[in-house]
Amino acid sequence: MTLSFPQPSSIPSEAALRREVRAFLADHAAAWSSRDRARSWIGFDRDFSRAVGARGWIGMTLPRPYGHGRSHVERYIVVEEMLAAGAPVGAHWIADRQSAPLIVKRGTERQKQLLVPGIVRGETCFCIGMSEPASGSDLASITSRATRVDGGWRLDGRKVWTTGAHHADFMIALFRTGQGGSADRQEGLTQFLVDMRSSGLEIRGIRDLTGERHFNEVLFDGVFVPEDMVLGEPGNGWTQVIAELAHERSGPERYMSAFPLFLAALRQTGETIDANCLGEAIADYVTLRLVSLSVAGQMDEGKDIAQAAALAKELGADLEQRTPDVVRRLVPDPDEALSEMIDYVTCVAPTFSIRGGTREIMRGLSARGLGLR
Amino acid sequence: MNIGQQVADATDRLLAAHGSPDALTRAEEGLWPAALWNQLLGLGLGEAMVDEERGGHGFGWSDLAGTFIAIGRRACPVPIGEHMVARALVERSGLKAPDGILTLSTRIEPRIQIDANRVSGELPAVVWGGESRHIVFSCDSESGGGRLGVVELSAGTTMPRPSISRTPHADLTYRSAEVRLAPAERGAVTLAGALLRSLQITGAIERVLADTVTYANTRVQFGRPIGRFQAIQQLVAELGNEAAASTATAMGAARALDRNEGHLAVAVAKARSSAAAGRVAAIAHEVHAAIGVTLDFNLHHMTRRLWQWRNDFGDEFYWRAELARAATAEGRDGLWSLIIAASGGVDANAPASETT
Ligand SMILES: Cc1cc2nc3c(=O)[nH]c(=O)nc-3n(C[C@H](O)[C@H](O)[C@H](O)COP(=O)(O)OP(=O)(O)OC[C@H]3O[C@@H](n4cnc5c(N)ncnc54)[C@H](O)[C@@H]3O)c2cc1C
Repeated sequence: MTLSFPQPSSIPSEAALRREVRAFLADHAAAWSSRDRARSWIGFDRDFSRAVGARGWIGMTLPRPYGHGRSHVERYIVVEEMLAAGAPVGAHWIADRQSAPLIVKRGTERQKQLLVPGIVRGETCFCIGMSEPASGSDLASITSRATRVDGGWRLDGRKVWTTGAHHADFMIALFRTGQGGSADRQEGLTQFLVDMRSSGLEIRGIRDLTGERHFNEVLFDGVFVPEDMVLGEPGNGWTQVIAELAHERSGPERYMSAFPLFLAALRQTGETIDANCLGEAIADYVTLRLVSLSVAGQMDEGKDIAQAAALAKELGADLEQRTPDVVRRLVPDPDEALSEMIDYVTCVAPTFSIRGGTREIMRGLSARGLGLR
Repeated sequence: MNIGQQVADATDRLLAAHGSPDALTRAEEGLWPAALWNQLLGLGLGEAMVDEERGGHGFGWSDLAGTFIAIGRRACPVPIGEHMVARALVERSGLKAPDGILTLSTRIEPRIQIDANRVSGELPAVVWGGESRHIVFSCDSESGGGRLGVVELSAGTTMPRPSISRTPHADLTYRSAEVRLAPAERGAVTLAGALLRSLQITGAIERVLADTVTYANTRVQFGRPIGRFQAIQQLVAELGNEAAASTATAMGAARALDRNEGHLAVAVAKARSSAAAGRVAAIAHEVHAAIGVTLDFNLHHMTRRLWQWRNDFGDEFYWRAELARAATAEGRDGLWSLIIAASGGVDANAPASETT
């Protein structure tokens, strides 16, 4: 891995774009509670996503005619403004970030025409079907199986921790199509576009420690997927999933999940303030913005960002997880709204170094990228 | 390849040839490596940052970032970075840079008084005091603006001062010594010095990372290279994180200072790279274990410099306080804008003309 983080050249319309996004957000923000803001990209609001889509801010980087043909840096600016405001972007988040780019890159013309317009309008919601009860970090060990049947495939097995499955219209699901065994642990995997209304598919909610239902268990009992809903090449699932994960790990949400809390906290600091604590957090947030924006720029240049994304995610998770403590230190006596935000972020903070790949796995990827054999 | 990269490569080659552990040790014992100094000047580094209309090459911080990183990577035993920066600042202020080596005081606020064109007081922790001819420092004018001062070393009393890098340092005391003064940006020396050190730290971290990876791949315990142990992998990954943070912020500050928007970005860079320096030194020693703390093994040349440089021109605590001050100065709604600006972005309230 080269440890350089070149900054993309700034886009001429940056200030204007920010103004546009902020004006748009100001129109919606009145309805958001402190807790809504703290939820950030976990927040789910279909109307809001539709409004974002109407502005042309979903599928921004997808080539025309599917998307808006804009750069990753432009998307980055729009997205970071939304995250800073704590906007409820959850209904389009996964589709915009990883599903649509994957479909445009690997999908058939029919799949693109069927699925991408709805995503870009902010109407079609996706979920990610990778993890299984016995396969978390060791994703290549999944056992959910797809078998060939007349006209397509039959899916059996179980996915778990599926964010937003109960809202989603489609899942991009990773299933085993090979024989298994060590020889084709990775080669025998295939991605499918699964309609969440298929018969034989059951979604069971799992409540997390915030009391909210965020992720789910999804059971597949003979779910039929037609041949033309295989995504990419059968047997190429692993390669596709690795590319998808790079998208999943590289965005500004990987350091900004707790950012609305940090912004809100500064407004409540008293006369005396722990300047070292505040200054350190500011320096770290600026660092993360530089690193993360650089990854967006590298995507525009078509570079392989897998290593840089793993590093950025790990660096960002560390900062996000420290943020509640920074805020506790800066604001010893928070008002009720801020308390609620602190409590919420404290509850979700452990997940920052789990979802999208754990800290230990990210560090392992980094160590290899840095040259450890 | 761009010209900045060529200068960096040439500097790196030269320093590699003169930077053996023995050579570094001799320099730390006080032997001035005159040949190396002359060859560095021969590369044109002395004039590299001086504006073209003043006879220099007009390179900016971004152009020369690779060179300063090389100076750090090779633990360069002469104050070429200080000299380059000092000459550029002097010429930019309108003064003519004097002959001989120019150097800087690495402390933030020199305790000095200016009376007409005379200086009294102390310039502490001046780098390579013994071999340099002039010191360049920032001070305020009576009207509260900034000034640059150039004073001869020999006009003051020199007290050698121990330093953890063991590179020569001295405290200089002046009693009504003649000084040349010109208007300049406030705190320009501290700002430039801080960025110089952030880039040097970045280079030193790069080197420590590479050496640590090599060591972890070769040292065998329990029948396998220690790099196979997850505990070691986690440490190396953390070292990589710190390297990334230092590089990203130092390069960001280089660009910002070239646009004259440097204060926040340099504050971030020095705060972050100074913090990284400490963590990186700790990890590298952990991975190398006993051999790493021996005088014969090269690692200490790098780690002692990391510990030195994190203190120079403001440590992480100083610059964090600066950032906190900026964030709380004008209202408390501007934090997001500050973060955008400090990382080179253009905030929404930037002048509309920029949008055309
Ligand atoms: C909020 C949230 C949302 C999620 N959303 C989705 C989703 O939408 N879709 C989806 O598919 N998945 C989702 N996940 C699942 C997530 O990808 C997994 O939790 C993650 O990959 C880790 O798997 P696991 O939880 O089974 O932990 P395990 O893999 O069992 O790990 C347990 C511990 O062992 C460590 N460990 C495991 N292997 C190694 C190793 N080789 N070396 C060192 N340490 C190791 C881990 O780092 C961890 O500390 C979500 C998870 C969370 C928390």
